Order: sequence, then structure tokens, then C-alpha cells
Amino acid sequence: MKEGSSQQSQYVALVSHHLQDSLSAIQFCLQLVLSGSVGQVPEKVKEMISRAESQTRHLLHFIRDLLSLSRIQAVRELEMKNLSLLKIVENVIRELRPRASEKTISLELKDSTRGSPAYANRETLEQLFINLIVNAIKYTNPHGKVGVEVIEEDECFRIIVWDTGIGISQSDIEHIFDDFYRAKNAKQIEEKGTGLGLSIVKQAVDVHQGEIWVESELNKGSRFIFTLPKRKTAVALDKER
Amino acid sequence: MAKEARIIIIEDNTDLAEAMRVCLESRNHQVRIATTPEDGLKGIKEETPDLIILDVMFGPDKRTEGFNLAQQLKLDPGLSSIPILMVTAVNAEYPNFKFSPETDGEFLPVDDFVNKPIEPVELLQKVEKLLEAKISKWAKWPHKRDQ
Repeated sequence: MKEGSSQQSQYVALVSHHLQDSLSAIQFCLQLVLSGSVGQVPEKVKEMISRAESQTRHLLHFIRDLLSLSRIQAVRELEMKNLSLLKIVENVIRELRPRASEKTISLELKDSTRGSPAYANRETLEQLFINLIVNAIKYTNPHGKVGVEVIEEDECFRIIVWDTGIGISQSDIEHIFDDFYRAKNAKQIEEKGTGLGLSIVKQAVDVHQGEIWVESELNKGSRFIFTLPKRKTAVALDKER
Repeated sequence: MAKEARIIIIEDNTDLAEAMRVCLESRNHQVRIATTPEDGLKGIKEETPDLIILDVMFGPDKRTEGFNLAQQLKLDPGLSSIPILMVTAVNAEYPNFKFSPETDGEFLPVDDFVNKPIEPVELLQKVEKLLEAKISKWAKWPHKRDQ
């Protein structure tokens, strides 16, 4: 089963690289035309090319997310090591702070840990935090707030990514982690999301044997809460399988 | 602004390569294209370029032959000083991982990276910067990096 999953992941990666190659060429050509480098373009033609360029960008994001999902799904035995959860969160926040600032959204971090390491895969955790925080920023209005709280409990870490954004309806919450699912009010903010961002988050939590759930209220904000077991518990859980 | 330069693009997607050619020729650079690392090396030896734009992956199975060529060029004393701009799609797979000449130059001696999807403006800026530098900072790789 493991070998089959790895082969599938390699296949998806290969197909994705091919798709990305062609889309990159298309996008480059369209941008070149839009820049005027190959001659003046009538306004209406420019508008159509701009729409085509926007679609290729969307497809490229889609492929990127598909790759992330495939990689996490297929490789069930990711390389895990003891690492500082707080450092990962701090790095991601530092990287995303400019994006939050563009919307005058404050980005906060609250550390309630005792310094114990998490037993996790670095790349997958980074992807997880990036997806949650980028979503929070995307769906929070200017002058709003986004935050991350990391709490260390006896058996696990509990992490909360919260925002004061548009919130999620109860009917959408049930499906929010499904592949390609997009909440109705999310589509009003960003028409062309891939719908894979939270699937990736769920898969990332699952491979770490954690749990994730959402608390949310429309127009008030959301809290994505997930757990990451500490090493002893993760190893014990493995033995139970 | 750097004066017109001789640039070789080693990229197996001919549409992308030709589009990059159009972009670079708009700044009066002379551009040649090779679609395989072997043809690229041959072209470089026939006429020394001022800059090499080199893709990472080649062929239907996307082997990372670009890495091998970069190392080969840096081990050749006659070619090692030519700056290399590497075109990488790694970020599609590992969006949080960005190659950096500072951290990855020990095994990947290229002067800068440009990630797919490439934007014409970014391509021109990076080419300009490397042409102004003139000499690769990895000219003495693997023993020493030039300051």
C-alpha cells in the first residue's frame, strides 16, 4: 500500500510539473503581451488577455495545492523529528506579516508553551500554518485581527488560529475540510480559490495523529483549533495501529 | 543598465524559451537557445556567453539535469566565471522552500534563481543584476566562493 501511494505521489508530481511547465510558458507569453513588449495592444484585447492570464495563475495555484495534498496523502510515514513548534510559527508569521500589513490586519502570537519539542514534519507543519494564516488574512477585513495561540498541555499541543473575519456558517462548517469545498461567503471575497487549502490542513493534522475542528460565527470570526500529540503519545499511538 | 550581452537559454520548453528570447531581445541582448543540457554545453563552448539561463528539469521524466550541468560548468576553469541564472519549478512542490545562492551554493553553484512561473519583469531585473556583476561568485567552486 505504502509503495503504491509513493508511486502515485511521484506520478502526480510528474504530471504536475508538466502542467506547470506549460502553464508557466502560457503565463509568461501573456504577461509579455500585456507589458507592451511585443507591440501596442487594443484595450479590449488587453482585457481578454488579462482574463486569460488570471486563469493561468489560478491553475498554477491549483496545481501547487494539488501537489501539496498528494504529497501529504501519499507519504504516510513522513520524516518526523523533535522540533520547536514555536519557531515554526514565528517563521511563518514573519513571512506573512507583510501580507497582513497590506490589509492593516494585526498578526499576533501568544505562546503558552513550556519549551517542549513537538514531534512533527517541518515542511508539512509549515504548510499547515501558512494555509491557515493566509486564509485568516484573506477572509478578514482591513483593520481586523488574526492570531495564533500555542498551548502546551500534558499530552499534546493545542494550537488556535483565530481571526475577526467573515466567519463560516454552520452549514458550511460541516464540509469546510472537504476537497474543493468553498464556503458561500468565501466565494464573494475570492472568486477563484482552489478549495484545497483546508483539505491540505486536515491531511497535515491527520498525518500527525492530531484532531482539528472549527468554531465560527458569521461576521464575527473563526477559530481553527487543532492538536498535535507530543512524541510519546505519537509513538504510543503508532504502536496501537 | 548593462549593455547588450550574449545570453544562452538552456530550456526544453521551446515556447517558454522563445518567449524569454523575445523579452531579452527587447533589451538588445543577443540570445541563443539550447533545448538540452548537452546542446547547451556545446553552445557555450562554441561561443562563450555573458550569462547562462539554465532550467533545472529536462525531459519527459523531469530529471534534474540542470543541477549536473551547473556543477560541470563550475568545474571547468574556462567556463566557471560565467554567471548562471537557474530557472526552477521546485516551489510548485515545496512552496515554502526557496533556493538561495547563499544557502544552497555549496551544492548548487548558481548565481541566482528565478522560479516558475517566471514574470518578464523579474527575469529582466535578475538578468540585469547578473550582467552588471560580470563574474560568477562561484567561479572557484567547490573550493572557494569569490567575494
